[in-house]
Amino acid sequence: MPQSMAAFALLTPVVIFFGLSVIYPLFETIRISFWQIRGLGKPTFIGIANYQRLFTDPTFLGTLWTTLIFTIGVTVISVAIGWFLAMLCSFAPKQTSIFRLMIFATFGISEAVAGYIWIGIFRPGESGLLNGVLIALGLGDWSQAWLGSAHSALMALIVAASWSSVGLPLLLSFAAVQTIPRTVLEAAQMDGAKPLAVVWYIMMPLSTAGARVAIFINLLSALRAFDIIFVLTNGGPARATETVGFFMYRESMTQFNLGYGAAATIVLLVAVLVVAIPAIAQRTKGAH
Amino acid sequence: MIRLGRVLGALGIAVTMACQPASAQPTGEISLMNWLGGADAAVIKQVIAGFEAKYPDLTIKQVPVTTSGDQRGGIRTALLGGQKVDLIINAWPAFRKELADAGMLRDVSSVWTEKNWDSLLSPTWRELSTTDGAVYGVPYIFGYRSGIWHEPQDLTRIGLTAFPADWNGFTATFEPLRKAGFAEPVALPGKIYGHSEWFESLLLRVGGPEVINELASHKIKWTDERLVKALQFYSEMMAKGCCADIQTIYASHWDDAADRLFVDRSANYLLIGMWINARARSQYHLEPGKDYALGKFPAFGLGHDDDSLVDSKEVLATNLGANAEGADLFLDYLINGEGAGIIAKAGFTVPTSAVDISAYDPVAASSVGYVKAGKVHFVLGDMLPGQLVDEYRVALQKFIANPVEAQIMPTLEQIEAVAAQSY
Repeated sequence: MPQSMAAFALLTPVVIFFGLSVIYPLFETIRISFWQIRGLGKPTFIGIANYQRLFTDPTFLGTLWTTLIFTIGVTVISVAIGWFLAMLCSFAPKQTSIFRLMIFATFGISEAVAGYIWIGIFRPGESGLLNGVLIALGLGDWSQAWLGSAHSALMALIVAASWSSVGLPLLLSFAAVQTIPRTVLEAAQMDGAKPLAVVWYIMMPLSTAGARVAIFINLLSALRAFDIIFVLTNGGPARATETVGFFMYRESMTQFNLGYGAAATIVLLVAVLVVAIPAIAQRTKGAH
Repeated sequence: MIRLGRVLGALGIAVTMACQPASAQPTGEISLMNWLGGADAAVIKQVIAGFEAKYPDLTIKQVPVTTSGDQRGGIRTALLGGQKVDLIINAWPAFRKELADAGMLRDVSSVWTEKNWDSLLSPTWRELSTTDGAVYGVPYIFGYRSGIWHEPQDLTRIGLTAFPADWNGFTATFEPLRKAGFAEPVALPGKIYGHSEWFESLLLRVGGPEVINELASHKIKWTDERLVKALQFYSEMMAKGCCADIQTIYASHWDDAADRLFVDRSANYLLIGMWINARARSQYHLEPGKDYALGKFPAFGLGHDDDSLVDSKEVLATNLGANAEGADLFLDYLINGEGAGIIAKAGFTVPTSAVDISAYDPVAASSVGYVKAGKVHFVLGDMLPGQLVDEYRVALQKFIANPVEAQIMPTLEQIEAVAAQSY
């Protein structure tokens, strides 16, 4: 069998599967976004009216802002902490293996489960873990209903989502640091570089590849976040923590405005592509 | 000898014919779309087991629907995807109408008459099960939603021997309860929908089931004076110090609020559905009637003091499945003594009179008594279209953050604006 035929034969199942599971639903979502569908009622073709409504809907415009804050917050915090921990762990790789494993395990916990864990931490009153600790430390004045105001609820969400996103940057940055030749590090030490200088001038610059991949993945995850928001705040109070992903769910699944929800989905898809395409292009260019 | 043989033969034929049913029992598989979880799912499983034991030629295949949050999205998706079922479990009257309008339900009015369900379900329940003149199924569980959960010993501490019967008496307890050391007389869960429970019961007392029915079908506007009055009472309750700060209210779901009443002992009253009864018994290990009780929503003297709000679960018959006769038999089983007995034994209150009130614990029995005392209506939230119910709850959330007279009309106008586009 010629090589091209073999390649074709091997690719065909994947292309069919990808077409059925990704391409077809994508085109179907785009098609639905031009229709008004309410519940089980008869659909009506309305052209771009869903998109026009979307960009004049104050609730949706609010979700764009919330999504931006949430996405940047989660990405910056999770990557910064993950990268920093990776540097620390690099000084004693063997001794910190269990520590790394424990942190990376949070990456494997579903967002919904993470949400329930953090509900226990942020519960109002003394029964909430965070409030309980504050009271025990004599900082009772700081205790509050963390999920009860627009500002603190969003911050709480960012903290909770960052917690479950630290593992990946840690792992990728740690792996990148491990690829730095020992000779480079030894030369720096022989030249009298202190640990902080080694981290700042050698380890961090040479491990940016891992951090970049982590930024890319965490950015996309945060953009599409839903589960943890659903469990922790349900988009509240009074929609203050609704992101585009949550808005999409509410419109599509709770209110069953499928067309309107589909339009929001396409807007989210465009946002994801705006982030993903340059990143993929850069990675592809690097590979060449 | 020949004559004796003929007689015995004829006798044998007669006996055989007498033993045969008048009409053949349906056989085969009945499909039931079931989205329930927890205790609700467990009781349906028991009912199905009982049904299959009684009718060995029939089996029930459960078609599960699992989605997060509002299950209607999952049910719609399954049905639009071509799922064929004989029966659907439903909890939302508004959704029943949506299914009926989509032509998916089967009118069982003739079955209702034929099987004499009127002898088991009151005219009120038939009315509540009716959509545009047709009956599409039977209710099998209901929960009283105008009851205030409390611990009687809290009231004893402030010198009361019984739950306050009227609104003024009720609101007058806030201050002494706070002085007695309770942080929040009313645990108000405002995270998702718990805050709307108060509004709906206030509206019931002000305007009765009629105003809720008219509002649900948008025959009256949300700016109606009875709604204004209900929000004024809500404002009054908050002004008299009913509740915790708004952050705590916003951060509380019904389970947190229940914990503050039954575990932390920092709250005194909670207005929420009958599922608290199961939680209080199994999770808090409290004894119903002794450790906790259910008070009837206070009277206003406006002519609706005995009326009740309820939620219910019903099984709807569809015209999608292949076993309509079997489905009807299951509906009949649900409201007759055997099926309903299994449900009542599991701690749920049932609308059918086939179960005696003595089957219930004291709290469940009191709820049945309250419901029997007056007119009954579904909670407003279950009657509203999806888009509107969401906007209504969010508007109320915003209102309770600043519950002043000046905010009443803007709040109602905001809901009305969405209502105008939702029907």
